[in-house]
Amino acid sequence: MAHLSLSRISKRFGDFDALKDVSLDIASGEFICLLGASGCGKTTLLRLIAGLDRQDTGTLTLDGADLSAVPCHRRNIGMVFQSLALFPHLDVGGNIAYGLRLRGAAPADSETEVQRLLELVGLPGLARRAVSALSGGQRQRVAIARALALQPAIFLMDEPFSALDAGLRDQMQTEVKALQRQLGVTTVFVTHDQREAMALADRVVVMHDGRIEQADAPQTLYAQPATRFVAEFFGETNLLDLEIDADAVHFGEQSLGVPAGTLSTQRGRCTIAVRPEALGLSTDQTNAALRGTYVSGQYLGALWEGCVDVDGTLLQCRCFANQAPHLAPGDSVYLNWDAADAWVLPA
Amino acid sequence: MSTASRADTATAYALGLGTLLTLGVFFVVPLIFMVIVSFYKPDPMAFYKEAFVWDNYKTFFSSFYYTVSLRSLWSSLLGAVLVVVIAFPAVLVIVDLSRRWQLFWVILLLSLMCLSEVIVGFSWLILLSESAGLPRLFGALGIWENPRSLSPSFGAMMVGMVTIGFSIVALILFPQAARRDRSLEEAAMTLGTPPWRVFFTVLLPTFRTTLLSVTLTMFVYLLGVFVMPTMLGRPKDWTMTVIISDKALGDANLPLGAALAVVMLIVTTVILLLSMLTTRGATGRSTR
Repeated sequence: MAHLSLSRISKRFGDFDALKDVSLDIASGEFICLLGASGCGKTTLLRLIAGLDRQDTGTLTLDGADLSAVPCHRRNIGMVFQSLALFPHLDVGGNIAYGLRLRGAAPADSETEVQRLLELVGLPGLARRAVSALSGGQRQRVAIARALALQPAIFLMDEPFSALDAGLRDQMQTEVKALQRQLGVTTVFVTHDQREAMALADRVVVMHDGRIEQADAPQTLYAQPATRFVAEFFGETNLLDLEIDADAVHFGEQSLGVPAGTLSTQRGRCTIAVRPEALGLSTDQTNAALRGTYVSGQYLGALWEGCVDVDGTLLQCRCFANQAPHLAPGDSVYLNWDAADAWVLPA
Repeated sequence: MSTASRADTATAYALGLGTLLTLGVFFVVPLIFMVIVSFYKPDPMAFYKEAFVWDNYKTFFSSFYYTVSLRSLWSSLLGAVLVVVIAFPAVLVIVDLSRRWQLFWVILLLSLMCLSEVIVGFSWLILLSESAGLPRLFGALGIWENPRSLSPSFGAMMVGMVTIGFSIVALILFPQAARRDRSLEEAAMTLGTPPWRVFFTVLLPTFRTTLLSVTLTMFVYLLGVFVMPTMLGRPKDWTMTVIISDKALGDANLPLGAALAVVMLIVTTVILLLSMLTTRGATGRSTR
C-alpha cells in the first residue's frame, strides 16, 4: 500500500494546456476515480503517475519519495490500458509472467504465481491459452492479473471497461472493486462514465479543462457539488437562479415564500441545484411551489421522468413509475422541494 | 444478394480475370518458353537448336555453377537480412519524428527508390574509390595509413545491395510501424522493462511475421539484382543473375542460360515455400 501525492502538476502539449496546477492526495489503499469528459486531462494525469509522460511543473511523490525523475520501468506501477495491451506473441501465462521473468523469477516460482493470479481473477487453467482465443471479459481479467503480478505500489486503470457491453461491464466493476478491497492496493481508475465512478470509487475526482473541479466521496459530489460544472456533469440536476431577500425567495416573477433551510442565510442572487428526484410534481397548488406547464413525460421502466416549463426554464422531475401523475401536455402543475434538498452552489 | 451487388461482384471478377490473363501472357508464357529452351542444344549462330537434351542441367551441377548458385543464395540472404536489420530500427525512429520530419524522410526514401541502380552503383564506386572517396578521406584524416580502393569487393557489393533495398524495406515497414499499438511498449515499461529491452521483448516478437516476410521479399529481389555485383563486386562475387546474363547474351548460349534460370527458380521457390510454412507454424504457435 502506498500514499501518492501530486502537487501543482502542469502539463502542456504544444499550445494545449492538458493539466493546470493539479494537486491531489491519494491515501494508502484508496480507490480513486478520475472522471471527466474527453480532453479534460484525466488520462494525461494517469500517464504522468505511470511515468509514461513527464510533467512540466510540479512534484509527484510516493510515500514521501519524489517520483518525478524516476523512469516508468522503475516506478513499480501496475497499469491496465484501455486497449488492454496484451502481448499477442505470448499466451495467457506468458503475459502474466512477463514482468516476473524480467525480474529474474525462477520459472517454477513464476508458474506458481501465474496459477495464483489466474485463480484470483477467476480464470484457473487458462495459462496455456492464446490471448486471441479469449473473450472480452477474460482478456480484461488477464490484463488485471498481469498488472498485479509484480505487486505494484499503485494500480492504474485507463478506461478498461469502455469496450465491454453493459452487463459484462457491471460484472467487471463488481469484481475489480472486490479485488481492490481484498488486496488493499492504492488504485487510480480513469473513466468518463459517472455511474462507473460512483459504483467503484471511494473518492471521485471530477476534472474539467485540465483542472480538478472537486474531489469527494460520490455521495458528497452528488448532494453537494462544489461548482456549477460538477452539478451538471455528475448526475442530472436542475439549476435555478434565485433572488433572495429577508421576506421571500424569488424565481423570476414567482415567489417561493420565506427563505428556509440553507437559503435562510443567503441574500441577493444565488444558484441552487435540485436533483430531479427531489422535485415534487403536483396539480394542486401548495405554498412555496413553482407554477409551470407540463411539457412531456416518459416511462423508463421503474422510473418516470417529466419535463415542466417554468417561465421559460425547463425543469426535470423524476419519480417511481407507479407514482407517476396522469398529465397531458399543457396542464398547469406545481413543483416543490424540501429545503434540505436544495444545494446552494458557491458563488 | 441484390442486383447492384451482383453487378459489383461480376465487375470485380472480370477485372481479376483480366489481371490473371495478363500475368499468364506476360509471365507464364515466357516461363514455359524458357523451360522448353533449357532442353535445346546451344547454337552460336542462332542462340539454340531444337532438341531434347539434359546437357544444360548436367552442366549446372559442375562445381562452378553449383558454387555460384550457393554464393548467390548466400549473398542475397545476407543482403536481405542486413537491409531489414538496418531499416527496421530506422523506420521506428522515423515514425516517432514530427510530421514534418516524417515527410522529409518519406520523400528522401521515395527519391532513393526512384534512382536507377546504375546511379546508385556509380555513386558508391566513386565513394569507395582510392582517388576521390572515403579511403582518401580516411587517409587525409590519418585513420588509414595506406588507403586503397574499397571496390570491387564483396563488402562493396553488399553496401550497394543494402542501399537499393533500404528504401524499399523502409517504405514497406513504414505504415505498420506508424500504426502499431504503442500501448504494448508502454505496458512492457510499466512491467519493469527498460526502453532498450522493449525492442527485443515486445517489438521484435510482434513484428516477427512481418519482418520474416519482408526479408523473404528482399531475398528474392536481391537474387535478381544485376548491376551491383557487376559494378561493385569482383568476378568471384558475381551472382547467378550475372552468370546467366553472361552465358545467354555474352556466350550466346541461351539453352544453358535458361537451364540455370530454371534451376534457380526451383531452388528459390522451394526456399520460399519452406520459409512460408515455417512462418505459418510460428504464427500459429503461442510462445511463453
